[in-house]
Amino acid sequence: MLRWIKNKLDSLLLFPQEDPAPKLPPPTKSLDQKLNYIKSQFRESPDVSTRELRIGPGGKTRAALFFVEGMVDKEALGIRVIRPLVQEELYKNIEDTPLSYVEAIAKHLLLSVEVKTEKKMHEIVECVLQGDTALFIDGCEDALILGHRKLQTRAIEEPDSERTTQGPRAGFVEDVRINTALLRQTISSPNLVLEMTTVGVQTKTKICIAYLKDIVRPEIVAEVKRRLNSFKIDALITSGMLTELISDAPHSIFPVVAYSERPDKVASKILCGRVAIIVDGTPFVLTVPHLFIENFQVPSDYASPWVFQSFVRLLRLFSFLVSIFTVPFYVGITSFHQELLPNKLAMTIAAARMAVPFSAIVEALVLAFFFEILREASLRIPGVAGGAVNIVGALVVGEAAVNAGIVGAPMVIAISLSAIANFVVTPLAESATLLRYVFLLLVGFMGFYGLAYGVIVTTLYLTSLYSFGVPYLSPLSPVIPDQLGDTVIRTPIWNRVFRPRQFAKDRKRAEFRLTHQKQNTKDENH
Amino acid sequence: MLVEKQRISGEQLAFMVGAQLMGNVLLIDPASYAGHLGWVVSLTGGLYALFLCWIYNSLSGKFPGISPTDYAVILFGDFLGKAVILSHFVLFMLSAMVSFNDFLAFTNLGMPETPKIVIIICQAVVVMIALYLGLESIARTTVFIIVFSILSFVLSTVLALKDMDFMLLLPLATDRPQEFWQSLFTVIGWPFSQLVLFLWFIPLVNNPKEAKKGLLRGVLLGSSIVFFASLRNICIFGDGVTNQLFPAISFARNISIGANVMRVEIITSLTLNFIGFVSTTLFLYASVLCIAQMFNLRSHRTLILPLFVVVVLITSRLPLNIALLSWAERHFIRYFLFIMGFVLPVIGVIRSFFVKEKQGPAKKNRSTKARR
Repeated sequence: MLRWIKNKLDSLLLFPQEDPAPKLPPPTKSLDQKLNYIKSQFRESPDVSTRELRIGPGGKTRAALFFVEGMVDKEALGIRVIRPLVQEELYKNIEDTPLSYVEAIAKHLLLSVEVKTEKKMHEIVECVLQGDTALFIDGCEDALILGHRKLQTRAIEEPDSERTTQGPRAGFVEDVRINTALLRQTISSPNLVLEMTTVGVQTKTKICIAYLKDIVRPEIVAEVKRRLNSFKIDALITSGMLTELISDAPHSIFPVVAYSERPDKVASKILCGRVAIIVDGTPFVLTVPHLFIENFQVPSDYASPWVFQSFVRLLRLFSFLVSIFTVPFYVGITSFHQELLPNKLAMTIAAARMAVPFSAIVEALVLAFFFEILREASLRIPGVAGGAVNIVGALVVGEAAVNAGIVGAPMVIAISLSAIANFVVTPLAESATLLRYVFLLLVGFMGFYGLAYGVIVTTLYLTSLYSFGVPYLSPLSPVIPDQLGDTVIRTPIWNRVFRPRQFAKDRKRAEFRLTHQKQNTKDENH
Repeated sequence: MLVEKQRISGEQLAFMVGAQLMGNVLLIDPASYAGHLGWVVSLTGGLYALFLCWIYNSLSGKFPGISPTDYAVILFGDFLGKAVILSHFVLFMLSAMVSFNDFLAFTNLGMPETPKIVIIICQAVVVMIALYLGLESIARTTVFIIVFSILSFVLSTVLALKDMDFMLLLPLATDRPQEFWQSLFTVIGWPFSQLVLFLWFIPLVNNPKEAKKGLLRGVLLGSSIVFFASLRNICIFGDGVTNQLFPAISFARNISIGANVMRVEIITSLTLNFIGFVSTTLFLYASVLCIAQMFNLRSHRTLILPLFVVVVLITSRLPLNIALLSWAERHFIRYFLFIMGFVLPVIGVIRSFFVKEKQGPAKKNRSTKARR
C-alpha cells in the first residue's frame, strides 16, 4: 500500500498528468510568426541561429534557415542549399510542376541528400536540436528538414577495455549512426534490422535496436521493445543507465545485460540470435539476452587453435574462482581449520603471523578494503600521478605494513593474488569483489561451513536469474548438451553447428563437408 | 490442481533422485550396518529401488499431471486419502529433521565450539532461501552439486585405489545372518523407501514420458553410487567400517599420495554439505507441497516462514546423539518408511486398476477442474 502511494506520488511529481509543455503556435504560413516563436524560445541560447534569405524569381519570397551552430556543416549548407535557392534561373524548372512549392524546391532545387517535410513546430525544433537544419519559406505551412550534420566525433580506434591480440582493431564511437554503419559493415545482410527509437524527455537520446529478423526469436525482440517503452525518464546519458532500466534483475550483482565496445563481438552475438541496443552518446553497445558463461568468452578465443583457447578459458574460470576464494580460504585455514595444512606450511604461516596483532578476518578485511581504495584512487588520479600512487601503495605501504608487523606477508600475497585474478574476467570483476567480501564474512563467522553455505546460496541465486526470459546459467543448468561445446572449454568451430536454442529460431548456422568436420547435424528440437 | 507452477525437466528429476540417494548414503553408509557384506546390501537395495521406480512410475502414469493429494483421494477415499497425505507430511518432516540433525552432527564435528543453534539457523536459512526461490532453482543447483559430488567421489576413490584390498569383500557368507537381514531391511527403508518423496515431483516434470525416464535414470545413478561407496569403504576398512561414524570422511582422511596429495577430506566435507542441503531441501519442499496441496493454498511460499520456525525449534530440541537417532531409526523410522514407501504405493497401484474404471469420469472432471 505504502509503495503504491509512493509510486503514485512519484509519478505525479516527476511526470505530472498535465504536461506543462510550452504553448505551441498553431501551424502557420507566416515566416515572421515562426521566427518570433523560435526567438522567444531560444532567447538565451546564442548557439541557435537563424539566417534569412530572399529566394525565388526576383528575390520576392522570404525564407529562413534555422540551425544550431557547431552541429551543422556550414560549407555543405552554403553549396547545397543556399546557392541553389538564390539562383533565379533554377526556378524555371519548378514552374510547371504539380507539386507544392516546398516539395518542388526539395525535389528540383536542393542538393541535400536527406530532405523531409515537417509541419509541427515542436518536431522541427527537435530535429534542429539534434543537428538538422530547418528551412522555412514564407507563405508555406511546411518546413523542410535538411540533414547536414557535422557532429564532432572521435576516430574509430581499438577500445582500451577490450584489447585483443588477434582480430579487428575497430571500436564503437559515441555516434549511433557510425555505430550502425560499423555493424552493417560486418553483417551485410538485408535481414539486419536497425530500428530507431527515442528515450529521455529532456535528452531525446536516440536508441537503435539491431537484430537479424530471420534468426532471432520474435518474442525476445518484442520483450526488448516492451521494456524500452515501459519507462519515462528525464535523461538517458549512458547505456549503463539503460541496463538498470531494462534488466530482469536490477538488484543483481551479476550482469544480466552484456555490453561491448567491439563491433565484431556485437555482430557475432547478433548472428547467434541476440538483440543489440545501441545508445547514442556512448560507445558501449548492449546485447541481450546475456548468459553467465559469456563473461568468460572473448573474441580472440576464436582466432587461434581451439585446444589452447580451451586451456585459456579454463584458466579464466579458475582465475574467477581464485579472485573470490583465495582470501576467504586463507582466513578459513588460519582461523578454523589449521589441521588441514601440512605441518611445514602451517609452521611457516604461523611464524609469519606471530607478530600480527589482529585476527585473520580483521587483517583480511582491512587489507582488502585498503586495496580497493588504492584501486579506486589509481583509476581517478591523472595518468602520471596514478603510477606513483600504485608504487607507493603496493610497494612502500605494503612492505612497511609487513615489516611493522601490522599484517602478515601471506595475507598480502593472498590479497594480491585475488586482486590480479580479478582483472582476468573483467565483466565479473565487480561481482567477484563483492562476493569476496561476503564469503570473507561467512568464513570469519563459520569457517568452511560458512563458505559452503555461501556457495550454495550464490548458486541458488544464479540459477534463479533470467535474462530476457532465458535462464542465466544455461546451457550449464538447465543443461543443453549441444551448446556445451562453447562453455568451460571451446571445441572446434566445426563442432558447433547450431545456434543457441534459447534465443535463435533458425538454429542451423553451418554445414561442413570435410570428413573430419562432419557432425551429426540432426537437430532434435528444430 | 498443482500448487507449484514451476516445472522441471526429466534430466533434472534424475539428478535430484541421484542426489537424494547419494546424500543419505555418503553420510551413513549401508556398510556401517552390514559390515563386509554391505555391498551385497547396497546391491539388493538398488534392485529394490528399481522395483519402487516401476511402482511409482505406474502410479503416477495412471494419473498424469495430477498431484498425489488428488489421486490419494481418488484411490483411498476422502478420509483415508487425506490421512495418507498427512502421513506423507509427517514422514517428510521426520526425514528432514533426521537429515538436518545428521548434518548438524557432522558440522558440529568440525566446529565444536560454535553453538548448535547458530549452525541450525544458518542451515535453516539456506534451505528456506532455496524453498523461496522455488523448484527450478533447486533442480538447477542440484545439477552443479551432483557433478561436483561425482567428481569428488571419483577423485577420492582413484586416489585411494592403492590402499584398497578387494579381499576384504569376502567371504560372501556370514555367521550372523540375522544382522545381515536387519541391515538389509534398514537400508531398504533408509534411503531407498524415501524415494516415495519423488511421487510429489513427478507431476511437476514437463513431459510425463521424460519423468519416467528421469526417475529410472536417477535411481540407477544413485544406486550405483551407493553400491560403489559401500564397496570402496569396505575395501579400505573391512568389517571395521561399522565403527566409523562418517565412513566417507574417514575414507578421505586416509588418502595420502607421496605426502603431496593429502587432506582430501576438505573436499568430501564440502560435498557432504552440498548433498545434505539437497536432501534436506527436497524433504522440506515435499512437506510444504503436501500442506499447500491439501489446503489448496495459492502458493507454498506462505508456509516458508512458519516452517523455518518449526524446523529451528524442533531441531534445536533434538539431541545430537547419533546412537539415539540410530535407535529410533531401527525401531520406528524404517517400518514407517517401508509402509509409506512400499506398502501404500503398491496398494495404490492395485487400487488404481479398479478405481480408474469405476471413477473414470470423476477423475476426468477433477483434472479438468484442476486445469481451470
